[in-house]
Amino acid sequence: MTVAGDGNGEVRTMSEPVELCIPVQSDLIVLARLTAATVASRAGFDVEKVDDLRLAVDELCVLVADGGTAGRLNLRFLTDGDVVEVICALDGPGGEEGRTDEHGEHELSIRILDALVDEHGDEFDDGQRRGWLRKRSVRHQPS
Amino acid sequence: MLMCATIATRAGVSRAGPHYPGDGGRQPASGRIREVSVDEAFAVDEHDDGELAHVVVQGELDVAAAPTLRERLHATVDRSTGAVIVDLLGVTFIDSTALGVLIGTKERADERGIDLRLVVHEARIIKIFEITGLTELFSISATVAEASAQ
Repeated sequence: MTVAGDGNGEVRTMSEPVELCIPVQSDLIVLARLTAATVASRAGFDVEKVDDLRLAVDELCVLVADGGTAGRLNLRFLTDGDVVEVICALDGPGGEEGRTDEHGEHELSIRILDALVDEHGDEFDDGQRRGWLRKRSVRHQPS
Repeated sequence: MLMCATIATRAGVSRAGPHYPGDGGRQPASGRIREVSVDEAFAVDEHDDGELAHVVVQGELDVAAAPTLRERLHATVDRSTGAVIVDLLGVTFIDSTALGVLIGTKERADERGIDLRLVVHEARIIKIFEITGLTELFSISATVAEASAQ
């Protein structure tokens, strides 16, 4: 754990990142949820926000894996003060046909992420699909 | 800290009897148990009682559970003649993939003129239905008795 100033006189606590790599198998995404819950709990999130992050990380993994069944998901969990940031990158080919979207599952994922985290996004860079999210323990209200 | 996981797929496990959340594990007085399967974190039990088919789902409903959930719900809808009650009281987690399964089941039920009713009580599960707008699509009751009386 390290301590850093944010330039405004506040001191933030930055924990060592937690990294998790799992094969792209649907039954292993539970490990990402478990890690998310542990990291959020250590960051001081209350029970409801721990649940929120657990679900958000699940959705992030499913979006990034995109229906794939080969390769690995590399997850990185960072805690910076009251913020947990999660980056999920797919090291592999992803699904040939993509995730099933027969019933609007992609849109459901986005709605869930919009509601549960402060920021999220995804990108396709250097042939690697990547998604990220950030959640604060206390949601900042726009002024 | 780096954790690399290579863990065997969870194996399906059968157990002697079904568990009904909230009733201490007692079987219903009437109705017939069709099948019980348990996968550590996910289980589906089914029984029917005349006009009502009753599916009890427990555990974490995620991308891993979705194929089995879809298969079981669709099979129940296909053989039903009345309403289907999907009891989610024992569900501790639900994601977009499982919600997609419920939407697909609802569409299948509508095509066959079957009334699909969900039973949800846990606030964190209701919250997911609310933020996805699915409270508008589904008939949701807080208890099985309430769903049965509709």
